[in-house]
Amino acid sequence: MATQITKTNGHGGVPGDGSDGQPERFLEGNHTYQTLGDKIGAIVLTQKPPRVWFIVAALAFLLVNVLLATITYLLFKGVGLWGINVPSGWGMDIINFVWWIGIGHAGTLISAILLLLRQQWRNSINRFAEAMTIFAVVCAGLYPLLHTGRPWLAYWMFPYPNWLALWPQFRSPLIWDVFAVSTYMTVSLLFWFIGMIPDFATLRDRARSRFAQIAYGAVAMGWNGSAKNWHRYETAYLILAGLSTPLVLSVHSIVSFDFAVAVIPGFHATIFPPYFVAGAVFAGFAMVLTLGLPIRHLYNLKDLITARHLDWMAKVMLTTGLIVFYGYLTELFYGWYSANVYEVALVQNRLFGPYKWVYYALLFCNGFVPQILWLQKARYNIAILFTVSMFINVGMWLERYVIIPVSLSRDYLPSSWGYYTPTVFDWSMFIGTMGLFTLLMALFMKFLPAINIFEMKDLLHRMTHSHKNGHGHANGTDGHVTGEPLQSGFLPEGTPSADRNGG
Amino acid sequence: MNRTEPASGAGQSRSYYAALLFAGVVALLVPLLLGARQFFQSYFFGWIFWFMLTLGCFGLTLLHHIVRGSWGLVVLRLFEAGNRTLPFMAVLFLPIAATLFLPHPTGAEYWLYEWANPELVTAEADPMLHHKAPYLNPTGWVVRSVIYFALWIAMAAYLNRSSLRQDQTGDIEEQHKRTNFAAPGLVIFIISMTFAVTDWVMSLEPHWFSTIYGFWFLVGGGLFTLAFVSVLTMAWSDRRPFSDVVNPGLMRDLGNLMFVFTMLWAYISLSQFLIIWSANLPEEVVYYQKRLDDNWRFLGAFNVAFQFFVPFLLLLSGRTKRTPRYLLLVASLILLVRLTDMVWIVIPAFHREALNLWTDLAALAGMGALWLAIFSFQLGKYPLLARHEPRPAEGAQEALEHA
Repeated sequence: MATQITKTNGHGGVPGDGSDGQPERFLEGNHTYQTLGDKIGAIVLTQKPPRVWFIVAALAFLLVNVLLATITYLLFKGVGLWGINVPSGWGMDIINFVWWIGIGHAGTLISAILLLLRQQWRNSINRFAEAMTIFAVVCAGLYPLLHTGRPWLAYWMFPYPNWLALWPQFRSPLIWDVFAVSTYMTVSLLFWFIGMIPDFATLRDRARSRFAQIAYGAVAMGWNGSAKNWHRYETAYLILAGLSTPLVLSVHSIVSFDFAVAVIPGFHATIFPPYFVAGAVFAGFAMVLTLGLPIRHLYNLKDLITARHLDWMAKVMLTTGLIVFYGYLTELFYGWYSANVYEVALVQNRLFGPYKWVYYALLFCNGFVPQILWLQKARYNIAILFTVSMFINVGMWLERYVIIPVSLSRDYLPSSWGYYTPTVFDWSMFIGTMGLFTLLMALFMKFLPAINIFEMKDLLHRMTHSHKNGHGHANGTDGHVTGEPLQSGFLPEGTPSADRNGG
Repeated sequence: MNRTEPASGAGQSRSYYAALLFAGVVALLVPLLLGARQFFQSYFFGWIFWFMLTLGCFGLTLLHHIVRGSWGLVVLRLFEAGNRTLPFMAVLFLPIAATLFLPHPTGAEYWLYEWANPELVTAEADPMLHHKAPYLNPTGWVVRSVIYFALWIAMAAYLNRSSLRQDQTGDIEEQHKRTNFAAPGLVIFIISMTFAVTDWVMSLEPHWFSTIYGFWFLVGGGLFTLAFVSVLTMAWSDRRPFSDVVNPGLMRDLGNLMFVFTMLWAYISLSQFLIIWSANLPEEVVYYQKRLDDNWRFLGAFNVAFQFFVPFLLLLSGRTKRTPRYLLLVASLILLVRLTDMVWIVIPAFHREALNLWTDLAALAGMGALWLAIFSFQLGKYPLLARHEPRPAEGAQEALEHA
């Protein structure tokens, strides 16, 4: 018997937004445990990717080659290939580093904080966002590594005993970065991998080809879906969520310290840590939408990534966008209020200097465009959401442009001022990392379960069991689902039933 | 064991309020013993400390109407009574505004705000203050203060009325109206509050500035208010109507909220300190230099230990959040440290020769008596629990259904 999710008429015109007395719906259509497993599993196992996938993957592969060629040439010639030079010792390399690191934050926020807050709407987008985090950190990590000029000596930044008597400068936030980013990468990777284990087992059991069975079997770590497995899984997952939560704040705060503890006007502002963190989440959600909306369309996932998900993501973007905007306003106001000649000059430089177009474009992209998300209609309109997310992607890049070259090129002595212009290799490197990111995402869509199969089943279970009007137990062909009420004591996802992993 | 008498100041006799008000006014006048300037300084300290609680109540009311969590519903009436102290606090603000226009005190060039003395803001005397004069001048300051109060009082009145109306009519439309109002309302609140604390507190040291200052006060006020309502609900947990709604879920939520705000406080305080200390720019570092000199450093260390480490460790434990008595103790500790933190932020700004802290504490107690009298009178006016429903998706309204 298929369990049907009742359609309700929304109070405020939007079905299932909770205003009608029904639980909010984050799963649409007539799904059973069987159809959920089929639908998500099929993307990986049987379904031939849509033609667009091949085009995107080929294009991305081409760009990866551009990246590799740039890096090769860079190693051969040195970082002078980039447009960085005194006074702008940092340019697009650090802009892109911060941009990519920021994009990763949505993944951690969705996975860790929303899990701890028991927000069910995270369930269908978390896997995908976590993958995005890892790929974004990979792209980000390339920049400081190559910026060192001798990336083969990058391990010198770690404090290890050595006969060179070499020791990192622990008072430098650049060293904190090494630890912050590598910890972030490690924890995100573990979180992502552990979260996929039950789904790997599902894929292993469903796979027809020998190769797929062995490959998924190897990464499923011998998962058999026993109650003990689930218990340990939930505990490990919760611990990792706890570990990841401070990382959402710490990574971008430390990135902001790279700038804020310096004495360059435009770098040095106490608002930076919270403003950078908000900006990171803002950028991250924009990227989730930029990638998620086309994927949702191509793979026909409208039942799983519902309009309610998009609405929530838009609200998070609006909120964090407002915090970022608040940051811009405080910088402007206190820049003037400081009565410090250099701070005042910075405000003038931003508003009327040679880069003023960057600053105005930034205010437009991040300050004004996202305000349309106040309208509920806009939050439910795919085209608008996609457009806004693209504006934010650009805006967050411009923000770092305003912070880095605009501040560095005109700091104290006018005789030392300069003008920063990126070279063709700055751009080829940037476009190359976009290619790398896209290729990794494409491979992820093809080979790994992009949507959490078992959490969607758990969501279905909760939805069917929370109905008081007696839809009864959901009996998919995956087998009987135990119907004990899910008391979320200390486990936010509830105690999993023993046979939740179907197939 | 459930005691039967209801909680709150409902039904308190008139002499109770009269005694509180009288004691408050007397305590407020105590600092006059050390002269008029000391009086205004102490008065300002007492006022800003208690006003942070008023603002915290208002900010959390806005937040509650946006997210509509089940915890907020239980303490909503406490927040709303706090909101209704706004007009009274505006009246009590008048003496502070008056200092801008009174003739100079004997032996000093200004009462509270250096920039209020026109002789000190000329281009020759102080180019920095001269630069800031278009913003930091008595007229502008008063106009802005009027705008802040008018905005807050109007917004709070709208929300409070709507919430009470919904209790009477049961009209769920009120809830949506409040949500739609509170979302832009919170934006307005945060911006206006940033400017307000800049005007009132930051400009006590008019040469110094910090862009994170607004967030610092926002989080401090939020933590103060959460601790305050936790103390009340835990203290009244065995009295009606709280005995019906104080359950492990609510206590966990309140505990976790205090935990989060404790961490946010530490995050913002540390960020501000680290950035200023590391850069070591003379015009900024004076702020901490003053507060790390002499005896202030001990208070600073106390705040670090007791505003962060101790509550952080205590609130990590599930046991603290399950036992009303423990939660009450932690929340009381946070209240105490909110006080010492505000002392550390405000008092060193006054450049005093002697540490006349007792006058500040007298004014603080006096203002507290007035605030609490107004609060408990306002609290007694309406039923202690709002009857609206939280978001259905939370599924946590059982507590209220049992009530």
